[in-house]
Amino acid sequence: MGQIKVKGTKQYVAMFDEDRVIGHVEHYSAVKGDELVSYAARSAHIPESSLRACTIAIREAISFFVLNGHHVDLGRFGIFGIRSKQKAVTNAEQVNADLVKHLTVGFKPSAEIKKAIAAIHIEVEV
Amino acid sequence: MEFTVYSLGFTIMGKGKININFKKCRVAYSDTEMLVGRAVRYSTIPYSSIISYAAQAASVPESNIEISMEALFDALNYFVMNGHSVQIPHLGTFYLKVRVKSTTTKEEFVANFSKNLRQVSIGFLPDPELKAMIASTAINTLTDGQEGDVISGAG
Repeated sequence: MGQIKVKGTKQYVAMFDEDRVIGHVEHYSAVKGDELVSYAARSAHIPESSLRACTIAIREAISFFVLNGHHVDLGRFGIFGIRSKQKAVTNAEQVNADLVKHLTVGFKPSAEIKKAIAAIHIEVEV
Repeated sequence: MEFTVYSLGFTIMGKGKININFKKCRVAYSDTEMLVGRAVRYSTIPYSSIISYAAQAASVPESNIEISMEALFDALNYFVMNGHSVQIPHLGTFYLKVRVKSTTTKEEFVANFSKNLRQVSIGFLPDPELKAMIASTAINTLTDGQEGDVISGAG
């Protein structure tokens, strides 16, 4: 079971036009890709090279499938898919590719991740 | 550049192309019917196909890819659920985020935290490499399934 710290800090909130206490997860550190691969390889007793090849192949799979309009199911991780943001228009003549303002890869966590999140112990700090 | 995915039996272009379909629907904020776009989803590629594909692409046995995926997931799960942000090489960074109702005082924030907590979720930030690929993806707009404007690169 995980444990996280949520810190409340005062900051300006435009909607209320005043300073209010906002909560955010305290990030202890950023685990870099190399560190993660080394840790995973050590704990699973598999060569680091195999893990690196795996991450490259998965990136390739995502770029081929997701960037061609498919969703990709990465098992215990969840589902990756393309997400877009575009302006709405009133008639069909106004529809053009310039309306698309943002294109990104979205991620929907698996049920296993959601379950793990639900079991997290939260500590509050101000 | 063209790649053949043998296990799936079809060919995909190296550079992506996304179709955005504009359909009429009611937009609440303007209280009118407008054409709203949505990226067309063709299918969901199952996990087993991704494993086969990755094994062929990296020329390693499928079992190695599966073990690697499990190991990566366990490591990610351990770090993310304990408040660290985690980068998966070539893919992106995962982190935890919370949505809590704001309060006027710190005392109120602590006292009403469980009541004000709306959601704890996992966020994903794509890697710069992946972002560059997204930027070079061609966009094709459709209006109720009919071909429209095409631009190269999402910007």
